Amino acid sequence: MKIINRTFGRSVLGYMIALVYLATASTVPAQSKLESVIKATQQEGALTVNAPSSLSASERVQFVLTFLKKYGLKIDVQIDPSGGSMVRKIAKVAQEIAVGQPPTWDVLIMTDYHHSILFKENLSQQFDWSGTFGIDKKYVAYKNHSIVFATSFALPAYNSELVRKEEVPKSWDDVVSPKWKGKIGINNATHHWARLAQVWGEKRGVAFMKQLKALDPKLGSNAEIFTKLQLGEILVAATLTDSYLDQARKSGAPIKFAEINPIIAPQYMSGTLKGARHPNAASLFSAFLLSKEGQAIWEKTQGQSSLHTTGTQTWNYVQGRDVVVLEENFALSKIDGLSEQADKIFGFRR
Amino acid sequence: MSKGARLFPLLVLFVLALLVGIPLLAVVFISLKTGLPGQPGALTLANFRSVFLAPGTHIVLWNTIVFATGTMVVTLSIAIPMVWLLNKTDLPLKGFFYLLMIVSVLIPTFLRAIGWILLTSPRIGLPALLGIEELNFSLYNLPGMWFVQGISFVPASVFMLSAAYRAMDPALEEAAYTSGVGKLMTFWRILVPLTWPAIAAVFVYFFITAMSVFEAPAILGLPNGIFVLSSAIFEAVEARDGLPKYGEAGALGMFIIAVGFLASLFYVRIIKQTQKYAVVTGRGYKPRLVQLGRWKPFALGFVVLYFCAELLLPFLIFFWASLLPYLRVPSWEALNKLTLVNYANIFDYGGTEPFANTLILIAVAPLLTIALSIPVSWIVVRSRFAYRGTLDTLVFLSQAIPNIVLAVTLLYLFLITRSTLPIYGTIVTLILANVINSLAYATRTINSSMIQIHRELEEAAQVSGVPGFVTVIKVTMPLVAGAVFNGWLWVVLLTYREVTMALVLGSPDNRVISTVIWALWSEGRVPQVSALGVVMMATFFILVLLLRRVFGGFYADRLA
Repeated sequence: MKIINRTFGRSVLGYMIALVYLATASTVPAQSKLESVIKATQQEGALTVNAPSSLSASERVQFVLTFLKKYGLKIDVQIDPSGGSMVRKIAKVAQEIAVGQPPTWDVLIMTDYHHSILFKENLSQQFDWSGTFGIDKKYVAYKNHSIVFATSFALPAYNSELVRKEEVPKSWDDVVSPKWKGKIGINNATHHWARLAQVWGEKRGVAFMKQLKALDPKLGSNAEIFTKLQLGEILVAATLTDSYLDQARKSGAPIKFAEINPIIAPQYMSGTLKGARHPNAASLFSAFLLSKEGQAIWEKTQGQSSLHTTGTQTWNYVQGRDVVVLEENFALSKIDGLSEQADKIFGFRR
Repeated sequence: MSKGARLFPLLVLFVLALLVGIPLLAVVFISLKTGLPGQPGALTLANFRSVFLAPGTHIVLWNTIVFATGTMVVTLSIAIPMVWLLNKTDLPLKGFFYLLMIVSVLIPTFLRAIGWILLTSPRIGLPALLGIEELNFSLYNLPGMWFVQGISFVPASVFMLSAAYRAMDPALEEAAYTSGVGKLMTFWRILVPLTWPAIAAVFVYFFITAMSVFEAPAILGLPNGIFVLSSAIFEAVEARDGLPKYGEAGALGMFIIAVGFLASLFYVRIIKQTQKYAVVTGRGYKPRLVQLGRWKPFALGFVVLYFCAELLLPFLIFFWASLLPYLRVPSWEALNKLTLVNYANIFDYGGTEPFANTLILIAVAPLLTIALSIPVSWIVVRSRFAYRGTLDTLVFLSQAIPNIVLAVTLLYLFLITRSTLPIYGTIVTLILANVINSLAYATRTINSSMIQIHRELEEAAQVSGVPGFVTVIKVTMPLVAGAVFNGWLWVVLLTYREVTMALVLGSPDNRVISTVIWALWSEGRVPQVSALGVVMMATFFILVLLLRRVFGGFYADRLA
């Protein structure tokens, strides 16, 4: 696997060392600190987490029971799977914090891009993840504000009943082939293109966006593009995230990834919100997501696991491939501008 | 007039000022602020400059006007004949059609749009089934948006107009028929002019609604680069570069509020001439039905055709999708994959809480809305209260605030009053938001009916020494009971379906079914959304059937 990003290292060897360290370190946490967080969590007595809406009621119960059992807790945990835009959820907590009120949720589980907004807007709290839970620093992002616990993928996807095997794109250049004119869809997660520009450079990234636009693509949200792809109204989605692929796999829908390089890999992050009512419970829950039990349940329910944990489906999947992981500096300085440019080129913005 | 009777309109005005006036002022405040409400920052016109001086804004405004006008042409050209057929003629199966209309409201517009895409797509729809390869037809344009949005407004328009048509004294029509005037001409020359206030109410209400609706413009307009105000508001709220720009959304919303204000003045002008439209007088009458005769098959064809477009085809797609593991075009192969698993898992999507919360919401919010709308309508239409125009404008402006902007404003107001009024994050916030949002609809429906009741009925009661309040309860209310029932029923449906405010004001404690549906939709889980939708439609169908059996008889008796 080749991770094309400076923060997370460049070689498999480096990762293997990190993983060995993590495996060792996570089994020997700073025991007394961990115990005091557990004790404080018990005293706080509750926790509210905002998680992806794809978690069903039974899966949420499973999550809560595993978390409580692992740390021997008896507290009230609410996992809120409310749908809607992540940006609006951030706006909601920003508004709450701005008027000096505690945020609705203690923890927001979101992508690396959305956690960069939390960090930039000073909406999350710093925490000593390594010192308290023995979490390797490579899993810690945005100056100790967030931790990375799972990886999703975004790749071109196609309807396997309508696209012959030999026509399936084998490179990003194949995605902009004229044969897809009028038959391709682009979703509004335009930060995917900004992420590619991180490794391709701005000039090639923007040129690629313009080539895509020239194909007269159908635009829509992720859900709309996924629906159109299933129905055959489009044959190819320029990118689709693996949560949709997981859904297609479970339901038997004929949607497959075009296995090309590099793979766009948005990371799922967790962290404690500023002014959270239950800060210890929030930190403990984030650490739980990185534990063996947390990883297992996330993989079972969401079909995702950490890129950095040996033996997981995600780890296996990326072996021998190039992976684009968002760099912190890029996230904090460049991604917004490039996403906006992509919005304008495709027509999501005026 | 007693002191209490004099103070009553002032009290209603005060309540309305609290409920609507404060959020309106807060919208103005938000539009003048950069950053989020609550964050520090000076008041500025920067948001107005940013949105109205941006290149392309004039096209957006023009598209919005064209979209709203086209939508209204589609809506009214179906709704006016429909309401006449359902209320004034001997068309068969009227009760059944009325029920279908209620149920059709429950199909979300985004599914309706997808249904129509599915039907008209040259690749997978009817053209493909019929072997038509070259078809110069597309829904991804303004006429496509007019059609999908326009037919979706028809049921609500019919509800709004029904009471006015139903209560009308048939003497004028009968005079026309006696003079040899044909049915069609009587309809155009007598009925339409007499119900002009009701038609104006529908036009004004839905024109403003069309300016702020988002679903059809998003699904059919955006893929082709057609922007309207609601998509520009969405663009500001779903900012890609950090936090939402609520100030810009507020500034764009102010344009809709300004149009709403002008429309409201126009409407107030019409209802000030109440005597002109009063057709329910003290003289006894029984509404008589027009015999359609040889026109019956055509009339039935028109209604059936409408229901095919509005309900049957989208419902079939809805039902079909609910039985599939994933969405696919109908085929023999797909028939082998049918499953009930999406129905079996309904309570697993969001738990049971959203169902309980929805029940509370639709039980309380519509009741409060109607309880407030009746005095508002009476004051606006029947009284000589000096500020009745202000009262009506205030109510109407609540409709002109785009839901997203209203929700953000209320979120802010509930937050800053959290310590004294601890309702933030509870179901009470959703109840209040829906009351504010539905007031305009409910009052317009009741106004339209009340305007037709001649003052002589109340004057007769007063001359006989009946106190004013008793007169309203015993004389006016029974005559507008139909409108009140229709208004209430529609507010129930509106409240059930509303999702934008529920998302913004949502918390783990006040999740409702509409947010569960939205969450499933945003995950692309159309079969699950469809199963939930079918169950809700069936529930409402039975509920409305029961309610109409109970209340339908009640107000029919009163009218007779």
